[in-house]
Amino acid sequence: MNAETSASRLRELGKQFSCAFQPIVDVGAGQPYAHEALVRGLAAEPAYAVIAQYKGEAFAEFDAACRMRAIEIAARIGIQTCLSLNFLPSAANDANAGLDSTLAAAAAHSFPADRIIVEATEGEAIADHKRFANIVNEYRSAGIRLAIDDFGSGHSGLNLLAEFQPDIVKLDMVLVRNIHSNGPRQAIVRAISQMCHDLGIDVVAEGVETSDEYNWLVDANVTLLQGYLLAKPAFEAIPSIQIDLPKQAIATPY
Amino acid sequence: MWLPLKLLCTVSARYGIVLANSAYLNALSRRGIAELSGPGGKLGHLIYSSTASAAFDEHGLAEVLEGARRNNARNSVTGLLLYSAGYFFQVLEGEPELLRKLFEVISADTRHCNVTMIIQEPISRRMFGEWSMAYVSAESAELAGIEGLNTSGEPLANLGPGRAKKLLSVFIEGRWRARLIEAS
Repeated sequence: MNAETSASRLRELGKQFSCAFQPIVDVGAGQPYAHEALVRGLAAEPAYAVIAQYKGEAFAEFDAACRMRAIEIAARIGIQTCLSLNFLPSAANDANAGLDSTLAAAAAHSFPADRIIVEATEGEAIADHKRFANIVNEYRSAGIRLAIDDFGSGHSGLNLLAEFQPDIVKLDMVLVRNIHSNGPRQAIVRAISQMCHDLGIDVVAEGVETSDEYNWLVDANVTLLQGYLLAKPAFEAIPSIQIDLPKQAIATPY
Repeated sequence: MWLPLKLLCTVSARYGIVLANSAYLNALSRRGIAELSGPGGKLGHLIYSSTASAAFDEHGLAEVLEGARRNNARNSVTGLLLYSAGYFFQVLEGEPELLRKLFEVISADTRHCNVTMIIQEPISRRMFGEWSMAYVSAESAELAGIEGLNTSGEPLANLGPGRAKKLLSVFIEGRWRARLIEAS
């Protein structure tokens, strides 16, 4: 299948679903840092209902079509921040095809490539280190940034950082849950945060739901936050940030 | 003959090198090679830190820096060198394979030790495109870019966000400096 046929197939596929956007807020700067695109049905059906329809080979195309669709909508509704898109490299035989179509969509909608972040899970990155690094580095040359999602979720993420340094790590939600009262999670997040700081990697905490979690994270200098406390995902729209950012609670950065 | 990128060393200055006027040295290094990349169009950066192990006098420094810059310009290598209280921090930008070779040469230079590669990765554009090797002191780095202040005409004035800037700021905070063994 040539690139043109492939692109039009993916565009057709993309018409069968849509997406919502949720901000990752830079609470230090008091503004959104990026918006993550989350797949939804055409009538805003939840992600799992959409994802369940695509299996095996079809899933690789679905994965690529989601990114194209998200870029199209993001450009239409005028997202000015970075756009964070999920990426499942193992889904595709030819993983390059997946990101080529993403770059092509960005160009078609005049969305700058250096405002695109792709998120791959820690498990995906580790499964085939070399292949993953090769694919991703190719696209980093084009300006795309890489986030490792679900970092600290039980795979050997620390080993990964020894081999390969992403631009962003997103802490696994399990680490964030009730972090204000959980010593081991606090110790782990502090260590990850320091390590990432030394390597010039941004740390995002997702799944922030309570002000206790929020305050603990901000005190620990984790200031890129995503979660219901700040904003719920909005269907084909840019959600407003729901809380007044308590700037006085923000410690000076390192 | 390939001339290694020379490193500047001094033992005296608390904040950067006082030997030479860095504005003058930087003026020498503007080469207008802004968006050049190496063969195949690949571009990467390599960032390392090290510990000074020898001192240079004023003359030696100026000569060495100028020579290094000439070589860098010829090879389309750009970057930044920062010196602070006995430690170096350097960003090299260029064709990845060329940088790897250059780093081998740099690592073997006995005028510094504890050479620690922090990161080597692809980049989409140069951060120090006009500078065959910008020199900044820790003090001016602290004032520019890092605290959000601008010093116009300085290498850091228009430094975009990204890994190089983040690591530079981390270095200025005091990270990536080996606890040096005093040579006996």
